[in-house]
Amino acid sequence: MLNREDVALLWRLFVLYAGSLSVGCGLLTFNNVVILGFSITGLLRFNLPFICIASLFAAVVLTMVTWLRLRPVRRAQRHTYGADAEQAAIRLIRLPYEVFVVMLLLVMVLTVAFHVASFVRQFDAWTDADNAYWAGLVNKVISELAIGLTLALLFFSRLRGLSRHYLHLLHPERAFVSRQTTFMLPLMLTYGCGLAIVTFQMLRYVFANGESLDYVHFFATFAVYFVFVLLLYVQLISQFSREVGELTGAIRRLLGSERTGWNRKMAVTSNDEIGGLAIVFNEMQEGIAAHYQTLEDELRLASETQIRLLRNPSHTSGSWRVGARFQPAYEVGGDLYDVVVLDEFRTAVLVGDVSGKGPPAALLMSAALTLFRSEVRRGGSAGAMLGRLNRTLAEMVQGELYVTLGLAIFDATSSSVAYASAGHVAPYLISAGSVEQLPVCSLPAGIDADVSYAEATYRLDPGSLMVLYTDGVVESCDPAGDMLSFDRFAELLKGSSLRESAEEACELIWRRLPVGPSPDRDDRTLLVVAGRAGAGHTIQGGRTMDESYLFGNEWEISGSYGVEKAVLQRLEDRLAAFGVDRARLDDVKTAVAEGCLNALEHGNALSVERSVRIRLQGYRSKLVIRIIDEGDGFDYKARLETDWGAKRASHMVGDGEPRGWGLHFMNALADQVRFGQENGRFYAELEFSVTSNGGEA
Amino acid sequence: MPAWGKPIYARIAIVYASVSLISAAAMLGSDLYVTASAQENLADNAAYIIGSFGLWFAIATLFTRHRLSRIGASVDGRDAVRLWQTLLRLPFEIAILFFAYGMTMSQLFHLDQLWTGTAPQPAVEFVRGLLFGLTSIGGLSLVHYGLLRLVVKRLLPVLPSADTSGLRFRSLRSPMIAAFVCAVLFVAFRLAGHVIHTASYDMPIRSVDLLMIALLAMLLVTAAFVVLNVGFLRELRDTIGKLRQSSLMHRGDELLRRHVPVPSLYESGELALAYNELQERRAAEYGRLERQLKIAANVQQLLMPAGITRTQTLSAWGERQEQERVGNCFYDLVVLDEGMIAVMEGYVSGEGMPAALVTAACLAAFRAECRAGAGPAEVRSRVEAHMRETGDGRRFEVRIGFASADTGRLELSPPLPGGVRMMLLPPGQAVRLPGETARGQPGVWLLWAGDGKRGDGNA
Repeated sequence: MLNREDVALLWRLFVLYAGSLSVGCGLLTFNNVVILGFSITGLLRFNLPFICIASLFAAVVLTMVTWLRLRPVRRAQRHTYGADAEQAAIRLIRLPYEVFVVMLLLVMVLTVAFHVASFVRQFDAWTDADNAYWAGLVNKVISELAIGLTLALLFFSRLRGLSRHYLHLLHPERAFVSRQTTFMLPLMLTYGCGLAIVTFQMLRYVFANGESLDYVHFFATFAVYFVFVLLLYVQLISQFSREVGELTGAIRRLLGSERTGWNRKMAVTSNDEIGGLAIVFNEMQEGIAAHYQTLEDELRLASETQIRLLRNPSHTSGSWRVGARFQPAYEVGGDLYDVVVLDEFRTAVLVGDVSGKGPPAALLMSAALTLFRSEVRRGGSAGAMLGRLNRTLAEMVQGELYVTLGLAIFDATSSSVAYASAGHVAPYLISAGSVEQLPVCSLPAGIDADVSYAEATYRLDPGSLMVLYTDGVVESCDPAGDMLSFDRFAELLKGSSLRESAEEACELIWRRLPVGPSPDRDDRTLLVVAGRAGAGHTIQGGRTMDESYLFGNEWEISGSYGVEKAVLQRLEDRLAAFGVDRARLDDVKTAVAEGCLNALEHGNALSVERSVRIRLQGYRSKLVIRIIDEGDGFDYKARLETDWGAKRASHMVGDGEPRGWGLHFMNALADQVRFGQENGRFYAELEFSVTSNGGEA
Repeated sequence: MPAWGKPIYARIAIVYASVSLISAAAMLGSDLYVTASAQENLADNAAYIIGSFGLWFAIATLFTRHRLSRIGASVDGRDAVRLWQTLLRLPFEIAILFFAYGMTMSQLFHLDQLWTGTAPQPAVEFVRGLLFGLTSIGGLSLVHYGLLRLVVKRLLPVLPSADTSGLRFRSLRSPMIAAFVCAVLFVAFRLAGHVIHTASYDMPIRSVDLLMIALLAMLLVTAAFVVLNVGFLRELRDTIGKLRQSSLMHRGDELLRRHVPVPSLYESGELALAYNELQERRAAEYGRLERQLKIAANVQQLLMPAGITRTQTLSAWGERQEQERVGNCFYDLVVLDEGMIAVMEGYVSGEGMPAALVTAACLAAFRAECRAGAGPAEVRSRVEAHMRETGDGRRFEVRIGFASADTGRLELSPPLPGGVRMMLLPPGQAVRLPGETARGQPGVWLLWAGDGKRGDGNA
């Protein structure tokens, strides 16, 4: 059963042979008309139709024979150029020479067979008068040999081109014949045959028309055959030149590819100098690849490890959607990012860039990322987290390396983002078609352990996006070598439709970043964060939060009774600065003190190894304070249903349970008390309505 | 002339002499045996031919000497590209010079024949001479070109890829096709010339003469053709030879530093240049990687405290072997307060950068967790929690100890397995401590070491 490749091969062969034989027919007709002086009409009566039919028949026979001869090629095609490739390559290399030799032998045998009777007859009855006959006979033999040679050369030249086509498809990568030849062979073959054909035909014309030489016909004969052989020769030389050019092109393509592609091999398409070059090149490629294999493997694994360290942020992180793209300049990079869901409403997004590139930067990136993951568990504001991270990092690297970090904590309850930066490039807020670059100014982490980082809070309305990135993004160069720059990046962001989701916006921006060769390319990281549709702006209980967020703080305590006093003092200072009136401030302090004592005692069992976090969020007319411990929680529903009046009465007569009043006070002093789990930790959340005299938020 | 130019000059002079001799002999032979009319003036023709080639030899050698001297004077050895270009231009200049000179001398002769000769059709004779001159002198120019290229090739410097961006390469199709055209036309014009010449004297055309002319002409042009083309193919073969030699003799970065000579401005030269560029790029890239891995080793070492970590009452010192490369073993010493130092030692499975990334994460996790007020077991459990999250699924082992001056104890978590040694020094003898807690005393050092069997390096 013939498949498409078989039919294509058959068709190519038939066109090749039929075309070559047509040229042969044309030249033969030219000889008959110009050299031998036959009339076209006479030729059309028998010779030409006969020659054409014979040529067609010959083309079919030659096609079938060659097709059968190329069986290994067909097999190799069927097996996707696998096991039979070597034998197929050998057949293809030899095919032009085989056909040339067979054609030449056939012509010689047929010529001899055709004239042998005349030779023998004339030789037996030799006389001087027969010289003219001999000359005529030699003339005929030369003519037939010249035509045979012409056809053989034509087949050789065309089949060489065809075999190259299939050899490229086979793509053998090593020597497939033991004996190497030289390009001089086809070159001299074409040259010698071409010279012989032109010379034979000129001689033949002179021999045939010696007495009445027509210079026009003489030069026409020369011109036709000269052009014919010149075309064949040019084709061969062009093929040779193209093959060397292809080797150069293949190397240039390797140069244009990434390093991992530099060890690709070339197709060995001949057993001459070109093939030799490809073979030795492939041998060198193998040697080099083997030498650097360990290094390549190490880097590949390191790259995979780094990607896993970074972990693909969930597209939906709590109430927020995050789109992220990361591209190291080399195998591994110094950029880092992370997305941590703090609770149902809050998500922390970190982006950073380690000084330097490649493996050294990747090591510090790994350390910085782990530090962040550790610090984010301890909680606190963005600035506090960065401060702690910086302290540890500075101890580790002793100021010799640094990391720029940007940490944003998105809060859906207040539609806000608190952002702190450690020398990181300023992020952008995109809202309602405007692009605003947030002002930042701070020292990178790792340089000075005592640096503190301020944070600022911004509104993030529905439909708004926050774009965090590393400097590699704004330093991207286009093919002309022009750097993107902040201004052009801002323009590019303006073009990002607000209707896009975070992932789509990230993808859109990423695709619009210029990609060009840059001698000093850097890692690139891009993060786009947006509120999740329908998820933000509501909290448990379904109450719509219409308050505008103003400030936030977070403290951490651990140990036994009394450690809460420091936090209460800070809380008092903070709320006094905010302008909360004194009476309400006492309520807040008392309730928070009770909450802290409960958390320390019941939640953490007074363990110094466990911590209690107190998170304050200030709004225009309320305060939300969450106290988070590391305990398992309690049945707060049952406790909230306690009959406090009866409990108080029993306490007053001295037979009641002396404990459990904290919850009562909290419930009495706060407008709302909620309990729940955050990242596996139990919390109590107190909400107080407050009136501020407009102090410092 | 510079010293390096003298041997090449001698070779080039030999080429001029050989080509001149063979060409003069062939022309004289042709006059003697082929061109009937020339036999009458054989002596004059011979004198003219010999004189012309003698003069050519003088002109060519002087020109070459002048060129080589100029190359020596203007191109210092450091400007490899200019030297390379100047040397490659020499064969081309000589070929053009020969063509101009040869055509001038040939046409002077034919003009003289035109005015003073007795040929029945002088104009036809002149055209015949012109065409013959064009092909034969053109062919000889190409022969000069091919032979000189073979000679100057030995002097070509290896080109640094960085300076070669301005080079424009050509296709060897042009000279090879020109050689073929000259060869075929030479034979054809000899045959046509003989036929026309014989016919103009009303002499019969003898088949034997024609065959002889054809065979002789074919022989001559084939020899010239082979000389020229062998030159072109030699370039490729030399490149193959150099590549094979490099491949057999060198390995790794040494192989990448080996450049092959750029033999010409044709395809083979472009190929060699592209190959050199690839090798250079590879050498630079792998060099960069090796350098970066060394820097990474330094960074990894930086993450571990160097020298002695002291408090008022305790001193700790750690070291990791195999500092030349990043490794999978690590340690850390953190002063918790004046009386306590936290110590960590461990390893991550695997080696090289992938493991080093995880060790960095482990060190950071330890630093972040050891100050949280928990004991070694709790710190270890938190570090392990971090490592399970970011450790890339690698197997790891950490041992964490808190050395306290107040209690004089080193509290370890986990207890020492069999493979790790802990010794008290210096009591004059090393003592292996089996327990979870080791008690020290003032002036006594506690030595804690990995067993060296767990990967590249040992902490």
